[in-house]
Amino acid sequence: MTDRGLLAAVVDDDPIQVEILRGISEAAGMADQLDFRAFRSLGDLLMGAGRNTFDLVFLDRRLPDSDGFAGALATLSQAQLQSPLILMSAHAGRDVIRNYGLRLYGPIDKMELAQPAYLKRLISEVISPTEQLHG
Amino acid sequence: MDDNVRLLALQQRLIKQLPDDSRTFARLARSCLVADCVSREQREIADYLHRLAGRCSQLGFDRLGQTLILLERRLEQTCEIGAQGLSEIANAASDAIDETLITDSPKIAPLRPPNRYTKITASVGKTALVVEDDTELGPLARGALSDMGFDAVRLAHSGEQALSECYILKPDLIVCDWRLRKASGLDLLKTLRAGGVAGLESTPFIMLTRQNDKKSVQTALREGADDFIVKPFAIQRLRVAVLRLLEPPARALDLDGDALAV
Repeated sequence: MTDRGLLAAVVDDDPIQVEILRGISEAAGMADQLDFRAFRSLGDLLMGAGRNTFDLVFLDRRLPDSDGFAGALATLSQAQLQSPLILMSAHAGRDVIRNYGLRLYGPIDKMELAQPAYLKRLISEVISPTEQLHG
Repeated sequence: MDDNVRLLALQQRLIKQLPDDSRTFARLARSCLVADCVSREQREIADYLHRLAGRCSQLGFDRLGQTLILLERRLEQTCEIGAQGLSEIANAASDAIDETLITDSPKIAPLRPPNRYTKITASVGKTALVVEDDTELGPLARGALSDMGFDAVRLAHSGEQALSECYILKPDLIVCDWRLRKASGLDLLKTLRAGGVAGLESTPFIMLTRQNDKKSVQTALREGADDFIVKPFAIQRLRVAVLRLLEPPARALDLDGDALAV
């Protein structure tokens, strides 16, 4: 949490993704409550000492240094990531996910995330979960 | 201030970039055919498809996004694709982009496709969940509900996924197919009516099915479905069902032809 509000990491090798998420959060009226930091790979995220300072992490399915969600989640579990993860993909819905003890949401289709009202509800659920979804 | 300013600027950037993307795919298609080993090209094409599919589907080019996703899936699902197969996929991506640039009038492309259905006032500010594993009907129903004015509409492909969505979205309306893989629509309905997700015990639930027999209808209604639509159906039938469930009674009666003063 920052003085601006929530801080989210976006791990996606497409640099535009963080801009798109920022745009969607603005359209959802959350510009003052949510800020983003972009990471091009898992390595970038894990190298930083502050990797556990994020309130949530958006994780893309296809990254240069991991083999799909399975590989990425195993690595993040070993690295003892504490933040909840929102798994995103251009085509979600078919992956079988093992949670490795991490708090996971999704996988969620990127097109669905582009709906501002959905993003707002999702983030509010991730920050104050009423139920554990995949745990 | 327009809250979509950033998204619109990104959309314009995408539109400007698409001709280059098309050329890149065409170049990769050619280089596959002359490479000794195509593993580098395969990775490059898969990454490029994935990135562009995400951007397109988020920035209003839904149809191109879906085409690129299908190509990415084809690439992932084919074990030994070979230079020729890879080249064909890259060429197909290039062609799809070119076609979009011609047919989708990108200079005026909106962030969302234009509404095809009149908004339902009562759906504004509400959310809906469509549960359907049919790859054509699911997106169609989602698009129709979105056009009717729901703030967010999610699509789930299975009963289990639908349950997860219920926890996150807390939908105000659920449109669900009866026959799904593993848990059925009826299982989902029973779970919700039994209080499986707090707050959704009486959420309006429309059951979709191909089973057009009296027993099925009675079963669905007995378990708590609010409406029952037999597939295939016209979107207008879905619209009427949504109106009946969400609009105040006076309006619904009015739709049925009664001349009520509002």
